[in-house]
Amino acid sequence: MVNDGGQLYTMEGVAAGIIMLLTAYIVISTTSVYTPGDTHITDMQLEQLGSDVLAMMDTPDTNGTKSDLETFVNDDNST
Amino acid sequence: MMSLDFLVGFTVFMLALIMVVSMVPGLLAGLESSGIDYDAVAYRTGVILAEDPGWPVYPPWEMKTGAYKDEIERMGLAVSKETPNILLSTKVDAFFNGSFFTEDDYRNKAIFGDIPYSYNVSLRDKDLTYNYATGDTPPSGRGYIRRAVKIKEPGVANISYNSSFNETTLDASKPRIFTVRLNFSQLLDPSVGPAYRIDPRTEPVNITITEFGRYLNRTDNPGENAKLKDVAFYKMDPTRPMPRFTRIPFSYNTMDPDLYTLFLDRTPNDLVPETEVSDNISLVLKPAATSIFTLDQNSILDIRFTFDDGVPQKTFMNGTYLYDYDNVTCPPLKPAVLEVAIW
Repeated sequence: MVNDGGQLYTMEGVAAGIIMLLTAYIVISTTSVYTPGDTHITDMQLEQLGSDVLAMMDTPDTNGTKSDLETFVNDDNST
Repeated sequence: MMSLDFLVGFTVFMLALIMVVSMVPGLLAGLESSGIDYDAVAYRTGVILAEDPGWPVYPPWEMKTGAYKDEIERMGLAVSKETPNILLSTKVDAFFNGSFFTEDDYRNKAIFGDIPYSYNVSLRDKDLTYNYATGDTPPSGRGYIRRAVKIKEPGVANISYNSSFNETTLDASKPRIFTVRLNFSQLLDPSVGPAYRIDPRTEPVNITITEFGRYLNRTDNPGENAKLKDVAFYKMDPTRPMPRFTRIPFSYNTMDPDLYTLFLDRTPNDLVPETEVSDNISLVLKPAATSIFTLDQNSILDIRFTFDDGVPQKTFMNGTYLYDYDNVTCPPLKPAVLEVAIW
């Protein structure tokens, strides 16, 4: 009943386990996974900068004059 | 009937599979939490500096002297709560004063981090008139925010030759008094937005008299310059029943660059110079001095330049110049970039 006929099964199991562990280790250690959550921060920085630039373009530089943005929109050119 | 070897092999395989599957969720949390933290703290510091006037607002935090530094709760650079992204130049100069604020001050009054972050705050404009930076040099992996701002600078009263101040018909024996009048109720009129307002309580008052040579009495005294006897400050409260001007007590004969600077022909002087002037007079009255004068929003402040040479007088400059929105040149708002880095 007890013989060495099933050693191959055991070795197969051990080998499969080692392959799985080795693959997972190689995958994790060599790549950095870029998850969708990463882009939120750079998007936020750009959105803040864009909103600031728009607000500043809409602020007249001296009291009573038109802001740069009003001038661009009204006159349709860049002076 | 399953053999024992098969079961052992299968068990080894299942154990390895379970270990791999339990490692997979760790792949999705690819971000270091401290890395997100840097950007969040940098963003918050950017908001505090660019959109908040600071606390206390009035009397403003930038005028606290050394002994009262602890009363500053928050350092913000905005002109007011209603004008985000428009910074006041006096607040900017006070904030980047490295000899007054220590690293701990910046951490406690601007960054508010749970751990002592390293920081770098910089403000630059296009032609580098403003080229401030405070803190260490940032490394590559840092939290970062960049804000586009505009800087409000104080107005200047440029008084060149104006025939209405050249009173040639004055009595030759009377001393000449040239007054610059600041009517606070006019200046602090709420119809002018805070981004364009002249507020002598928070910004310096700059009076520059040029072409003084044209006011000299060349007919009676050719080639001689007039003597500026003194500069005095008078205040009046028009809301009182019988308003009149009273001379403000001030240490007129001490030179204190934190309170004022007076340049006669580009030489510094105190406020009782008794010196001859030939070309220009420049007086900058800092807000620290205006706060000593105890003025309120209805007061009228007179700055009187008295020229007295005895008989005959050597200049004809006399009269009252109104320091108001029509006469004072307010420089346009200067675009600049504020960057905060935290690591």
